[in-house]
Amino acid sequence: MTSTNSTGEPALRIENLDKYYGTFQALRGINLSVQRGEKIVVCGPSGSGKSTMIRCINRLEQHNGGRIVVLGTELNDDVGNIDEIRREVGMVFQHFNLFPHMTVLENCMISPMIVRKQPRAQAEATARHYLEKVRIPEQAMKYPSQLSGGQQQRVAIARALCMQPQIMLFDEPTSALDPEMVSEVLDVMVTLASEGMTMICVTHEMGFARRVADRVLFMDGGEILEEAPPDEFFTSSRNERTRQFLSQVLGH
Amino acid sequence: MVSLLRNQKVRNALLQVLYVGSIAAMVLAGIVIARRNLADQGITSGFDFLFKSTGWDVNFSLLPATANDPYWWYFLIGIINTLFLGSVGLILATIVGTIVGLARTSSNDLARLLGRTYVDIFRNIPLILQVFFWYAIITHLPTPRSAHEAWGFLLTSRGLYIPFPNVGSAAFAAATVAVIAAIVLPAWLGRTSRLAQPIGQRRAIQLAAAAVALACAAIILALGRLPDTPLLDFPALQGLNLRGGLRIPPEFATLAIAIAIYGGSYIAEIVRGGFKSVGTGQVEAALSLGLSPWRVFTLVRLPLALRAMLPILANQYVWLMKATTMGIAVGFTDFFMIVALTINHSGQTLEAIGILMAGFLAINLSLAAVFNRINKAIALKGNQLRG
Amino acid sequence: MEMVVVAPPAPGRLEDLRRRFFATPLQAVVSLACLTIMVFLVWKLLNWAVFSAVFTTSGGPEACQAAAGACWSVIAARWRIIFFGLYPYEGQWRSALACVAVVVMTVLSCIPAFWTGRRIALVWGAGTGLFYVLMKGGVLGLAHVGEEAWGGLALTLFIFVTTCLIGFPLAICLALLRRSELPWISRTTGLIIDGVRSLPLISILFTFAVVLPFALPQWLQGDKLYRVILGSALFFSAYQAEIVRGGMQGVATGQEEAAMALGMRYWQRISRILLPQAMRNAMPATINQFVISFKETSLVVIVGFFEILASGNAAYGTGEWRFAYVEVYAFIAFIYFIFVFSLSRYGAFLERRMSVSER
Ligand SMILES: Nc1ncnc2c1ncn2[C@@H]1O[C@H](COP(=O)(O)OP(=O)(O)OP(=O)(O)O)[C@@H](O)[C@H]1O
Ligand SMILES: [Mg+2]
Repeated sequence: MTSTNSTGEPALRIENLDKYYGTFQALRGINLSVQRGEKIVVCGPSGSGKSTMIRCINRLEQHNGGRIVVLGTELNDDVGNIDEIRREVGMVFQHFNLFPHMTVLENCMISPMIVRKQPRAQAEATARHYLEKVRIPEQAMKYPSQLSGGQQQRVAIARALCMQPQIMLFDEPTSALDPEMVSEVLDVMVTLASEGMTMICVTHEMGFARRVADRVLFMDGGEILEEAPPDEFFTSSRNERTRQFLSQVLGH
Repeated sequence: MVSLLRNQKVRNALLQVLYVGSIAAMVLAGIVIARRNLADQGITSGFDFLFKSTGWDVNFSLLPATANDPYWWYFLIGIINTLFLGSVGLILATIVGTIVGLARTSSNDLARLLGRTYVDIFRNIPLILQVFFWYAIITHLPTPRSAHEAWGFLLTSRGLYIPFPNVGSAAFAAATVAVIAAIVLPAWLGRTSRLAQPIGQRRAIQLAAAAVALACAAIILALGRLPDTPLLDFPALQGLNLRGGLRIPPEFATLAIAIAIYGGSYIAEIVRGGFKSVGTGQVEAALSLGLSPWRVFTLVRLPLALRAMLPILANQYVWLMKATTMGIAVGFTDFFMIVALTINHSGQTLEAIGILMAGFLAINLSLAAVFNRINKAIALKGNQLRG
Repeated sequence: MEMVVVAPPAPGRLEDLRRRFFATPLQAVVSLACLTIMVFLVWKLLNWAVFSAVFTTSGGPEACQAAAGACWSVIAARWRIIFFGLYPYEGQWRSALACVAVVVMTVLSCIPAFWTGRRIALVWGAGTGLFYVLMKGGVLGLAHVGEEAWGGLALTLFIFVTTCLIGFPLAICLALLRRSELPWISRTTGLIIDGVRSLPLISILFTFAVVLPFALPQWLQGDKLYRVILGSALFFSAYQAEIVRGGMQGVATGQEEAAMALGMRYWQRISRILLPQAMRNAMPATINQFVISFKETSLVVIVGFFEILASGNAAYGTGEWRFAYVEVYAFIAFIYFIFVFSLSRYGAFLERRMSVSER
């Protein structure tokens, strides 16, 4: 896989993506191309299909039409491809989804050990390295329920990073957090961005978008209505709906 | 080929076909082998045997039964026996369970202790052991000649003899229906006419309905009374045997007692759970309105508790119905025992097992349907109380 | 106005009693009635079981029958048949040891330290293996004793343990199949589970013991004992499967999604993420199911096995002890009671503890 995409192949290519829930069309002809190292922020009103789109990228949802090519591998019915893509794509959820019956360290070690077949010592070293990086090395032996929301979300990020993915997906990582914990999670994400990770973030944190995004997407009704660099997006948006949305989000 | 196997859709289809196919194949193979084996023993498969006479007797039947009767009639008798034993057991168990359950939720420490002891003992001993125990006790009772007597009841090793009205069986059945109507009718009226009349009037209508039904029962009994006999027929010793009254065979009595006691211990826990689920807030609110403790119980705690326990109670009743199959341990001809005897005598194994499954499926489904209806009715009432 | 707070006088003992049991006339009546019933029952029971009872075998059955109370001599005379059935006399220590092994195994599996799939499997595998070797013999210089000679408590425990051992994994499989996304698989499994659940256990035991031999080729029929165990396991698993499925429904969907996003395969997700959490949720109901299943083991007496109930029937059924049926049943009931009561108390304890830790 790695040999085929070394040249001009983007990290992610989505063409004419359609997604239906029963008869309801959640995504309509989405087109998106993300280069390696690029940071994309996706925003839009509730129900616009943001989660659906990024969940299609690692097959948590199955798309009904169009193509998704991740790191040169097409996401289709081939089970091998799906496994390969999930190994290379990390995801962070709104509600953390840590495994409550494992310690923080075990949460971070389990996947490298059973999916990547790393020896225990190596997996533990990696886990401790990333826990250090998200600034909670001292919590390694605790259980998730003993941590604050912000700490849990940082563990979730560390857990995803332990698989050493090439792309990271974030689905509203801060919207379930108390306001004072938002920044500690965003700081970790900014650091990650500065190290060149390819990132796709669904978030309404516009400050974060301004600071790290290469491009901001605006979605509504299952479509991408606008796609622009942040300064352009925030100042001179052409689209009426985007301006309306921005005034609501930035309004207070 | 390999890449085809890696395809998720192909895989899913293959898995489903394999799973369903292998199960179907196993069942089919079993049936084919069984038919061949049975044919070797000279048994032709098919349901023709239902119309042949059985050649053996049943020891308990509410319908007339002789060894000349065909199999289908025996199956019917079996089903009715199961339903009859089940209903008697179910009613007795509910009475026992309610009393013990109320004792367990009472504010009196002694009553609670008594209730708890009962539940702990009878819940933790297998039902079949209790059946054996009661059967041994009853069959070791004195012979009719030296029977225990109490209030006209006779306890003997040949069964329990109870006084019985001197009426024809048709009249008795009709009177039973009327008594049931006296119970069901007011409840039904209370539901359907709830919005139409004010409460006082509704009460009167309900009472009137019950009274009319009971009067009907009395009239039927009076009319159906066998000429020149006393109203109640008391069992009494005549020569070596007991005459008169109604004989409850030891097998039936054993099972009814065992199911009542064992089932009662389970129902007691359900009743307790139901009352526990009624929040203290509701009770306090009612008390603060100045309602008497009795009215709080009948108007608030009981309806709410009933609603909470009904679904679990339904499961328990289904279980009790199935427990009648213990009949085979003491030789009571319930549905299952009839099936087992049929297999023994006629060899129509597959057909009999099929009938057994269909019978229990039908019993389960109809019980579930009845309880769903009651559940809906009660749930409605509960909402009104909350609102 | 001045507020005067007066502490109520500390109630004396008598006052305390009065408040608890004689607060109102109705309360007084209830208390007195309960007290009478209790005193009467306890006195009757003690008198029968202890004061007027005969405990020694010295007088033989005749002296015993003449006594006003219980005749416990029947137990002294017949305990071997109740516990061991027809197991050869000189090997009965093996049967006793096998029962101890099962009890130890059960106690061990109640300790939370053993609650990982591997450890539980190890404990049960080792316990059952030990039981089997002790009972069957044929190795290590133990004389061979065929299953047809097994009986009494040992047979009851064997049937129970093997039922669980086969039924539990089967239940997990059925639960997983029923929640499968593939409609035909979940529907077929649902049909099997609901079908088995709608039937009485006795009819299933009967079918497996008597009817199945017709439907199986000769080489597959096996021993009647193992067929009955299979039927009993199937019944157990149909109920347990619904319990496990309930436990799985209690696990947040996000858990499986997170596992998927981390690249775990189906079996890895199930065994590492879903099952550990689901089994924890299902623990109290599971223990309850074990209790029920232990009680129902006694039903195999109906298809003709010499388990503890049948051996009890035999203990008083022949000859001189014919009158002592109450004592024998009381004794067997007591044995069942010890097992079932302790297990169900443990289940209740666990439930309380879990509901506290949830808060
Ligand atoms: N499993 C599902 N079944 C049916 N409809 C669904 C399902 N998941 C999402 N939808 C619908 O698809 C649409 C897009 O949902 P999606 O979760 O992608 O929105 P979103 O942009 O992430 O919104 P939010 O900001 O609230 O998270 C919504 O209208 C939603 O109701
Ligand atoms: Mg969303």
